[in-house]
Amino acid sequence: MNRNRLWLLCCTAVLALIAIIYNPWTLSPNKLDPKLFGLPFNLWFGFLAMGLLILLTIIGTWIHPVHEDKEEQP
Amino acid sequence: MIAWLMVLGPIYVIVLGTLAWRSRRADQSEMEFLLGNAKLGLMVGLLTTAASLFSTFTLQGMPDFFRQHGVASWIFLAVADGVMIFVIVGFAFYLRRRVAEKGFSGVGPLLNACYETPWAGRMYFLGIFIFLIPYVSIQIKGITIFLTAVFPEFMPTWAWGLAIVGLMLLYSETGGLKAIIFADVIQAVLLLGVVWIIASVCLDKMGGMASMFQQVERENVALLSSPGPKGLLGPQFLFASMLAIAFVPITQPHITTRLVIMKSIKETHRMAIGIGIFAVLVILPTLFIGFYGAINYADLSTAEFLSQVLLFDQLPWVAALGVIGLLAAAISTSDSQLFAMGTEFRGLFEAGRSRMALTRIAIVAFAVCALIFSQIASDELALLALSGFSGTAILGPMILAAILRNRPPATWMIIVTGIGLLSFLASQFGLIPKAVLGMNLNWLIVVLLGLCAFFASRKRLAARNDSPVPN
Repeated sequence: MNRNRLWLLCCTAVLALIAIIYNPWTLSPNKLDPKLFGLPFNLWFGFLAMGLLILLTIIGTWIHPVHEDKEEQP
Repeated sequence: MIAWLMVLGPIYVIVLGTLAWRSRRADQSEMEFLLGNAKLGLMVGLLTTAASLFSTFTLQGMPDFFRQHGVASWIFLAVADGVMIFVIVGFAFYLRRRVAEKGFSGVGPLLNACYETPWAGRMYFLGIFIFLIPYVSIQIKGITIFLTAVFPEFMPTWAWGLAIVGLMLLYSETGGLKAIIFADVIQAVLLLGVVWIIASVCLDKMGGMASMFQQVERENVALLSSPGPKGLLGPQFLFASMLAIAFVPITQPHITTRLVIMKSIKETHRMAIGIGIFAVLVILPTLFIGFYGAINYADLSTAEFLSQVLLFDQLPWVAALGVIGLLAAAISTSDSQLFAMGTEFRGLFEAGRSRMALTRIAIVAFAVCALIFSQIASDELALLALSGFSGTAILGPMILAAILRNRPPATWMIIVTGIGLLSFLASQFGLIPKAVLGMNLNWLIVVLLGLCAFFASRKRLAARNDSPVPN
């Protein structure tokens, strides 16, 4: 798979993650459970989401199409 | 604490002054002054961008947000920052490519070159002026109210404001962007150190993390879930906030400029990852401080809570560092925004000998505007400042249309952006509803403008294809 497709795949993964994070089910009112290590749902899910977004950003920087070309310097 | 402040305060001011003086050169060119003439490496780029992004709101606003609205505040700011760093990775590539083609002396001139009309830069400047001046003024107001509360006899509020703006102008006018960048590096480290020291003290007093959550559950269980006790942090509000924050690197000139002056796209990408990690490191401790407040000071006003938690519950040297940390947070964001607005103002005029002097005067004028606004700030202005990021996000589609495609977008995109800005302002002042068919007007405007941007790029291309080809 070439870098353009991988980058598009990475963007799609971020959009899907945004859809999961900000949907009314995930953020349904007064949802405390399931807890993880004593953390309420919204908090541990928020930590997980942030971790995944940083991970996708790291992957995005590896597979970004720019690394195929020589960058033009501003 | 006063004794510690008497020692640490002058050290902080001397460090800022020294950095400004070292950045200053007698033969400093216009571009050196405005763009630092620098190719920023990873650490300097990361710390200056972080200091510019994480303002007084992080140290003053976020603990209070966690105290009043609970755990969903993490999604409100940290997760939105996670989306923003991914946007930086994608946007920086196109931005730097466009800059390589057309040159860079500010975002406005770049937009003018892309749209092939000066109205693009004018619309951009109008947008950032309307939404960033109140944002800067509210930062000045926040820190001056805090300082007046801590030292009621020392100086009136306006004098604190004057002193802070004077300090900001002194080093930014002396050393230009380079001085601001160096000062940002010190201020980012200071902000991170201070927030963790204060959070550690709070966490220790609450008996650790597990005990903290048990106490918060007893005090107010609604703090442990969305939308929080006041019902603010629901899906729509959080999504609209995420859109506004994700657009910051695209729409706010002080961040866009930093993406341009990074050494290479590789360093810019690494910097984006660093910003994500910095966001976690700087926002997590504000959760501990906020929950400490929810347990101990649930009924106090914001100013009283902050005075208690940042000053009176801390050791004297920590409290003194807290005051300087707050000052650093306010100054590092405000000076970058004012300086960037000065640079953008310069872009409105044709090249000429007097343009540099005009820029320096504009920076002072914008600072004075922010200072005056900070003194007369009404509820409406505060509302405008809180909506600052949302307002600038409306400029996003117009900018993306110019940067992502290598052909000029249709000029009507500038007009519809103006209509979008007016509609958003009208909704903020209650002239039109803030929601349409149950949907938040802010993100609805951004989505509609995004569609317009798509067609604006296509239409101009079609028009060009239809035009006769010259022999």
